[in-house]
Amino acid sequence: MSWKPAVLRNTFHHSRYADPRRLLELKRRSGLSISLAFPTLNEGETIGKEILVLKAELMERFPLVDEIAVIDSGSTDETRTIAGRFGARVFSSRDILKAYGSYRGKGENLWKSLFVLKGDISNIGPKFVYGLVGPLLERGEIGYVKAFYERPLRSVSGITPSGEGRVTEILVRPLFSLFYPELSGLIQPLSGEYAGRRRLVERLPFSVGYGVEIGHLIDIFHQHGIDSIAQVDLDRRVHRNQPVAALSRMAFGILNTFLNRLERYGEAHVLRRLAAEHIALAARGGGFMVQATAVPANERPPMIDIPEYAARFPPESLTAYVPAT
Amino acid sequence: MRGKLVVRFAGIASAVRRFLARRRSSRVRRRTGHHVEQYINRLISDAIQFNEIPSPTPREEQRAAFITRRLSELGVSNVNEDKEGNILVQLPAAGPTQESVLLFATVENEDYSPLESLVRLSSERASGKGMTGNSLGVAALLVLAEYMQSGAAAFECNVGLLFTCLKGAGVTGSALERYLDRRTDDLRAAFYLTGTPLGAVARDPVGTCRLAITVRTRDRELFASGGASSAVSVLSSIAHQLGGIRWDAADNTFLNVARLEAGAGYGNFAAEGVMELEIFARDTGRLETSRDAVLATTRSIARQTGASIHIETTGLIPAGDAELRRPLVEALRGVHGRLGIRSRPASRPDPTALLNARGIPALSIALTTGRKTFREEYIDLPPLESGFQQLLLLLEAVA
Repeated sequence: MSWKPAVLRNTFHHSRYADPRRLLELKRRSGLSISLAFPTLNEGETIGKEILVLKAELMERFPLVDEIAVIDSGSTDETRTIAGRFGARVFSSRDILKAYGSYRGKGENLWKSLFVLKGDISNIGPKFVYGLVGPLLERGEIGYVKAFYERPLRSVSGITPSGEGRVTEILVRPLFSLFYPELSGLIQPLSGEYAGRRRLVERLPFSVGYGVEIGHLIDIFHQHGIDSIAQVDLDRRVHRNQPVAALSRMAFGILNTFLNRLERYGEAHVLRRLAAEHIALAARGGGFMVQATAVPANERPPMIDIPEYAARFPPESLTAYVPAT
Repeated sequence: MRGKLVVRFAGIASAVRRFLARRRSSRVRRRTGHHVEQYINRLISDAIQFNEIPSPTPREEQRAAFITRRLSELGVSNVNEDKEGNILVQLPAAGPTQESVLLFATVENEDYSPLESLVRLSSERASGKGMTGNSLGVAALLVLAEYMQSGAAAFECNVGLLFTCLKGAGVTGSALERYLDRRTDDLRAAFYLTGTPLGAVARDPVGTCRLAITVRTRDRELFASGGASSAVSVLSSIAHQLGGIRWDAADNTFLNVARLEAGAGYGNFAAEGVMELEIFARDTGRLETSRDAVLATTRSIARQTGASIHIETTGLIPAGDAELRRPLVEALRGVHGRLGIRSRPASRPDPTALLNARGIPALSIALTTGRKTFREEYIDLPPLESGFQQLLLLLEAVA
């Protein structure tokens, strides 16, 4: 097959952006400001290191990043104390746009981060930041940059190699191949590390749960075209191994968002009402027990439709965005 | 609710400790005139990033790349690398002089673990295998280069920063010794930087010899009768009998079993194993005699069990020269007094003894407090500012 997904033309290695002085110059010329957002829930074990290293490297040594913020979903460990101790601005998700209520989920925190952050672009780990920010600083037509990396798993026996993400390969890649072959050029479409321009991201609705990444990709593809998306090779990131049961719930949420987008863009029509609960079976005492889990499909509207946001970020200053982990 | 209250109280206690640490450090700043607080996060950040780079590797290329990239980013131009893996930076004195002071740190980490060397940071600690060792020393050299590069400090002597390796020290010749063989400058003093323990002053460090004993026995089925002893039995027997050796002066010699590893895991007969030993002695002559006794005992046990045995001396660091170290010890104690750091004598082996053996006054200094046990390893963050100030004041005193 000679056809290649166009996004492969916008595929870079982070080392292309490893010279901090060059990025600083690009940033100065573009006039952009850059914010990093960490959506958190009980990340006390890891958040301190990420913030300290990023702040030391990319705010103090080389002032590429203008602010680091933590949007917390109600951690019961020391996440907020530690994040504040190492210099992040810490927000409680509940306290942002109170009038609009609150949901649990990463997508919810990312959506709210748009309201509290000042800057344009974002993400984690020095090379994660400069790698993702680099294409946005370098090329004006790119509006959204996604990470991909080798994904060794962290387990009791140490670090073990793994293939690509299981949900990506078994669910998302077949769906993209069927409906959006252009997006099948994304190596890790579900990676949670990405950076985007505010003017692009503020126009996206946000699924509050698992579907936030896939929803973004389809919306950006429809609204801005495939050339606005780039991806960057960040080499390696160690993950915790998730059990299949958790991945199954994740796949449920992703599929729900995917079908919603097909409907929205008139590309397919679902004839029956979709169930709201993920059903799993657990073997118990010679029989099976049904485990039903509600996987919320709530969605936040584009931030630009929120009046308080429009008042806070008048159109002429709209050029930014941020997410993370 | 209880969980939340506990977290809240922990947060308050931590805030109080940080407030006290800030007050202490502002007092220190007034006393020393060095405003290094903005450099401390960079010090921690570099130590964390360095600690997570795999080691040991051939010539420690990845770790060396981190160092040279950082030096290049800082605009430090006078960087020399040699074929042994040494990286040397020369920071010139305020005026013309031939004299220099050498600060060095080692880049390898024999304890590196892909999982356990990943660092975790709480409000007051950085935890991870390797953090009490050389990662902080390397980071301190880099941040010192940055501090001096900014024009915040200059000394009467040239300051050399050496990133080196100690593997094979005293035996096959380490990268550090190769550098010392070739150097042409006039060294006034040298300091080895390491992580912990802050305040330790090695006035009269003992010498140490490291041995690796590899044992092979005949392989066999688990339930076969009349077969060979396992490598575990042989190594345990060696350890037991070495423990029973009566040294001529018990207070002056000590034998430590540093590591014992044998077998291929569950379900397998342990036919191979390795034991690493350290012998400590107060003087170099006694160290060599003790090593000969250990070698003879080990070979004798191996003969009795029929096991095949290979003994390798992997490192030999002589005892330090107390007389040569005295002026540096006094200077370090004076600095500790100014900074309110509690000085205490330490006699553990010190790589600077390799320099003493060449007539160079040299001493180790540590940058913070911390703890290293079988299960955990961490450094404390609040003392780091005093630890780094200590380095600057010591340079003022001797350079």
